[in-house]
Amino acid sequence: MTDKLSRRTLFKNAGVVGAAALTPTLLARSHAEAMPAAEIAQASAPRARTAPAAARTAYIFFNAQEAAFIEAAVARLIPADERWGGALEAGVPNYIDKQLASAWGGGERLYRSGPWQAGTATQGYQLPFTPAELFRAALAAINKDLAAKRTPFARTSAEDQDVYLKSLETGTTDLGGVPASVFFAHLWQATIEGFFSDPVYGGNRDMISWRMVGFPGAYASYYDLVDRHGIAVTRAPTSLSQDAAGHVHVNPNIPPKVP
Amino acid sequence: MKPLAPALVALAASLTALMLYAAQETAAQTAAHAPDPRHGLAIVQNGTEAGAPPCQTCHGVQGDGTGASPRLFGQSREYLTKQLHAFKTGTARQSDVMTPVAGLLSDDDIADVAAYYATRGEALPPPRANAAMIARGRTLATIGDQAKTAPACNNCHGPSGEGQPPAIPALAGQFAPYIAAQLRLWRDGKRTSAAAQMEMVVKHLDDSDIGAVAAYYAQIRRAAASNAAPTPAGTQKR
Amino acid sequence: MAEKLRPVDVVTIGVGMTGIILAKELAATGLKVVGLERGAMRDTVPDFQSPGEHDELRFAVRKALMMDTTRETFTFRNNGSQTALPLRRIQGFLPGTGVGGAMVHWNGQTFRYQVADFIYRTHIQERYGRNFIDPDLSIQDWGVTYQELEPHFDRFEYLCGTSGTAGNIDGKIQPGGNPFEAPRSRPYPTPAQKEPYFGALFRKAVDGLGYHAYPQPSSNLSQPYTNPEGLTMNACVFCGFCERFGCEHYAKSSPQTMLLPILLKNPNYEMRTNCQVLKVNLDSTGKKAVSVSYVDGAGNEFEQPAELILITAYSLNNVRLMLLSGIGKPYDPRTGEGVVGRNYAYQTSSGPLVFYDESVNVNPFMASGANGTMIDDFGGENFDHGALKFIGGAYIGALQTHGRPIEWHPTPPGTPTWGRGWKDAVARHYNHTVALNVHGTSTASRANHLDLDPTYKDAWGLPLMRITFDFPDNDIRMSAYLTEKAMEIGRAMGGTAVVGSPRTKPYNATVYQSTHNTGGAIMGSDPRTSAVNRYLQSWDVPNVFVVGASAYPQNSCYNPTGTVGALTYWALDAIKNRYLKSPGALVPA
Repeated sequence: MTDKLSRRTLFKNAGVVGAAALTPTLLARSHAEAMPAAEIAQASAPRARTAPAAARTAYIFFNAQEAAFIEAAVARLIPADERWGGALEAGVPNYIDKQLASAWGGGERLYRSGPWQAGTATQGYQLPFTPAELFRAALAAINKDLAAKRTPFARTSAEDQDVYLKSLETGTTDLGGVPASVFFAHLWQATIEGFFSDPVYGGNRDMISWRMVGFPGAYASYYDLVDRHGIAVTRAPTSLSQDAAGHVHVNPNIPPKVP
Repeated sequence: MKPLAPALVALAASLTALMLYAAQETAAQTAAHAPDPRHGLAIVQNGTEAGAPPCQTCHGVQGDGTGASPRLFGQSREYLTKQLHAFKTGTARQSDVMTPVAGLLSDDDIADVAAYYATRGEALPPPRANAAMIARGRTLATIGDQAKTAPACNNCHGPSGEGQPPAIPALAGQFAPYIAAQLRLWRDGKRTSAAAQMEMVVKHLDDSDIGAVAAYYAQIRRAAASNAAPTPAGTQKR
Repeated sequence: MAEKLRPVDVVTIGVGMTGIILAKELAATGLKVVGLERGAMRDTVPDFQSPGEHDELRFAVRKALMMDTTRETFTFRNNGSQTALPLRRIQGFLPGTGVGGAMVHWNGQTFRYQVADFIYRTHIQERYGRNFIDPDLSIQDWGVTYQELEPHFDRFEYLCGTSGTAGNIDGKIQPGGNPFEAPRSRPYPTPAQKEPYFGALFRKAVDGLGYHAYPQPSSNLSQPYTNPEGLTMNACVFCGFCERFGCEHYAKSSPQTMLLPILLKNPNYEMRTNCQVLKVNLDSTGKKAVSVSYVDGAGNEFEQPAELILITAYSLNNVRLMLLSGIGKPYDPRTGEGVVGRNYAYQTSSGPLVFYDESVNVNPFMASGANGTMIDDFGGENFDHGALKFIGGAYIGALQTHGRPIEWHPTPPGTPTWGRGWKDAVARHYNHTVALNVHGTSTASRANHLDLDPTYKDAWGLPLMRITFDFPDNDIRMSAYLTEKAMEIGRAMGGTAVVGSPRTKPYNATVYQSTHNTGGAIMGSDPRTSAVNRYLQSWDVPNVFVVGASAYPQNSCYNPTGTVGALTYWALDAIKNRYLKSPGALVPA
C-alpha cells in the first residue's frame, strides 16, 4: 500500500473522500430558460449505475484484501438494480472503513472489563473485541479460508457469493475468535447503517437510499404538512452536511462551509 | 432590459412540459383547476381583465423583485398561492399594495401566477453587507440564541436558508429590507403564522438581531432551481 | 484522601427532572442546595439545534445522549439460575445522563395512572378474589391514592404544558377525550396536537369497532405556552427526531425548557457537573445520612456534608445508590425478606404491523414523540378480567414517533433477510406501513429484582447493579390477549396485510422495548415490604428521600413519567411543609 504508486494507481486511489458526484444538468440555469422538456425527460429516466465505489474510496482502515472482500460482500447484501444503486454505489465500504477507524471502531460506549463469559442470547455481546478488532480478526480468517479456493471471492459468481454469505449468517465457524454469525450480524448492521445514515458519514452517497424510500432527510419541519394526510412529499432529501450550493460534505473533518 | 420575445418562445416550450408536472399534483394540493404557468405568465405581463396590474411591474418577469417588493423566483408554488390568498382574505396578511391586487385575482389566477413564478430560479449577485452583522446573522441562522430562546432559523428554513418546500419558504438571496420588514411585522403582531411559529421565534429578537438575520440571508448565493419545482423520484437534484 | 467541603442544607444526587424540581423549590425557600450530576451541562441552544441534531446514526443508534457504558453499566440475567453478565452495550433501554437527564431525550408521552393502579392488590382482590393473583406475583398497594396525587398531577402537567383533550373532569365525561381516564380537575394546559395520517386511519377503524379513540397526551406542545414559572415553549413542528434527541425548537417539555433557567438564577443553588457520586455516608447508628462522597471530572474525591439528601438519579441508579450506601435491607428473593431491590418491573409491549397499498403515503417521518391516537378500552382495570386468566391490560394506539430509516424499514414475512428481495421489499413498504403500539402492564413478581453484582465493577471500583428479570407468565397471557385485540383493529384499518405476534419469554435485553424501568425502592405503608414510605422517605434513614419510578410497586400500562412528576411534587409538599419544620420520620415505622 505504501510502495511507489504508479500513475494509474494514483488516479485510482485519488479518492473521493470529499465531494459526492454532482450532476451538472440542473445547476446554473440561465435567466431566460426554464427546464426544457427534453431535459425533464432525461432527468426522469432511471439513473445509470455509476462506476463501482472501489475506484473512488481511500481506505484508512481496511487493507486491500479486506476491502476487496467487504466490497464484494456488501454488493451482494444490498445489490444494485435497474432503478437504484446498491450498497457499493452508496459508498457503504467507505462508511464501514471510516467507522472502524474512528472512536466507535475503537470501542467507544463499550464496557470492556472482564471476565468474559459466553452468555445467553438475551444477554448480548460478550466478546472482548472492539468492532475494529472484530472485523480484523474475522476478515483475516475469512480471507485465509477464501485464499484456498481457486477463484478470488470478488470474481466468483453472485450465486456462489450468496451461498458463502449465507453460510456466515447462520454459521458457527470460529473466525479468529469471532463466531461467523456474530461477524455477519456486525457486517449486516454496518451495511444498513452505511446505506441509510446521513451522507456526512461517507455512505448513502447522493442520498440514494433516502430517495429510494422517500425519506426527506435531516431538515425536517412538517407542521404544515402533518395533517395533509397522504400527501406525496417530493422535495429532494437534505443532508445535515450540505451547503447552500447543495454540495454534500462527506468527510466529517471538513465542516460544511456556510456562506 | 433584454428583449422579451425570444425568451418568451423558450418559455412557452418549457411551460408545456411544466404543465405536465402541475397535472401530477396530488388531490391534497389542488382544487379542480390545474395550475397553468403559461396563463400565469400572461397575467404577470399584462394583468387581468378584472383590473389586476401586471405583476412584473414590481416583481419583474423573472421574479427578481426590487427591494421594495420581494424576490419571488424559486419560492414554492404552494407558498406563493397561500400568500396571495392571505392577502386576498386579509386575515393573516395586510398590505396596502398587495391586498387590492390580490382582491382582483380569481382563485384560478392565483394558482396560475404562483405556478409561473415557482418555475423561475437563478441566484442574484449578493448586495454589500457589514461583516459583523453577517456574522451575528449567521449565528442566529445556524445556532440560535439561548438567552433569547431563539432556535436556529435553518432548522425550518432549510440548508443555508434554501427552504423546505412545499410549505416553508426560502430565505437565501431574499432582499434584506424585505426580510427585516416581515420579521418586524411578526414581532408586532401584524402578520400571523401557523401555531404562531414565527411570532415565537422573533419574540425576543431586537432590531439589531433582525438586521443581522436579514443581512446574512440576503448575501447567500443561492443554488439555481434547486427546490423550486417538483422532481420525479430518483432524480438527483443538485 | 477526600476533601471535606463546607456543609449545605440539601444535596440532590442527579440533576434530572426530579432533582431540578426539588432543587428549584427548596432553593426558593432559602435553603442552600447543591446538585451533583455525573454528566455535562447541555441546553437547547447550542446543543440541540438541527441539522446536526437530526443525525440518526449518532443519537438514535450510537445513543450519544445516553449514559456512557465504557465506565459503568448494569449486569443482567433472566433468572437466578443464570450468571449475570454485563450489558456491554445497552440496547434494551436508554438510561440518560447529563443535566436534564432522560427527560431531555424522552418522547413526551405524559399519562396519569388510574385510580385502581394505586390500590392495585386491594382492588384486584376485591374485584376478582384473593386466588385470582398468581402466587409468584408480589403486587402491592402504593400507600398513596390517586385523589391525593391529583393536584400534583395537575401541577406537573401545567409545568410541562401537556397537550391533550380531557376525558373526565370531576367525574363528568368529556367528548373527544378518554372516557376511562381518572378524573382530573381541569382541562389540559394546551389542546391536543394535530392528528397524523396513521392516527386518522386508526381512529376510523376503532370507531367502527365501538372503542373510544382519543389523542395521546403529549408534552410536545400543540401551541405556544407560558407555564406558571414564566417560561415559554413553542409548538412542535413534527420533525420526527424526538425520542433519543434533544428538541431544537423549545417545543418538548424538558427540565431545560420548563424550569432550569429559573433554578440557575437562584444564588442558593450550585450545580456541579461531571461529578460521579459513589455513595451516601451514614453515621455510626446507620440511621442518619451525613454526607455524599463523589469524584469530580479530574478524579478528585470530595465529601459533601448535608442535612437532607435527595436521591434523584433515575430509578435504576436510585436503587444502586441505596445498595452501595447500606440504606435499607437488601431484598433476598429466596427468603422474600428485605426491601431494597424488590419488585423490579418494566413494560410488556408488542407492535403489530399493518401493510398498505402503494397509494397510501403514510409519511411516518412527520411525527412527534407523543402524537397519535389511541384507545384505553383495554387499559389496566378498564375491562372485566373475570373470565380471563390474567391481570393487567394495555393501551393500544397509532403512536408511531418517526420514520428514521436505519431503525425503520419494515418488510412483510417471507422477505429474505438481505439481498435483492430485501431491498425491493424495503423500497416498496417503507412509506406504506404502520406499526401499532400495544403497551402493557408489568406485574411485579418475587423473582424479578435488583441487587449488587458479585463480579463486575464500574470504573470507580464499585459493584455494578444486577438486574434479574423475565416476564411473569401472567404478563405473557395478557400480551397474547391484547395483541389479538390489536390485530383485530389492524384488520379493520384497510391495509393489505396485518402481521404481529405477542410478547414471549425470555425477556431479551438486546432488543429495545422501553425505558420504563420501575421498582426496586418501592413505596408503601409497611416497612417490611417497602423501602420508602408514602412520602418517598426512606424508612431506615429519615433524612434521605428517594424520588423516581424506583418507588413503583409494579408498573401500570401507562408511561411512568407523568406519575413520577406527580410523586415529585407530592414528596416536595411533605418535605417543605412537614419535614423541614420537624425533621424526622413522617410516618411511624
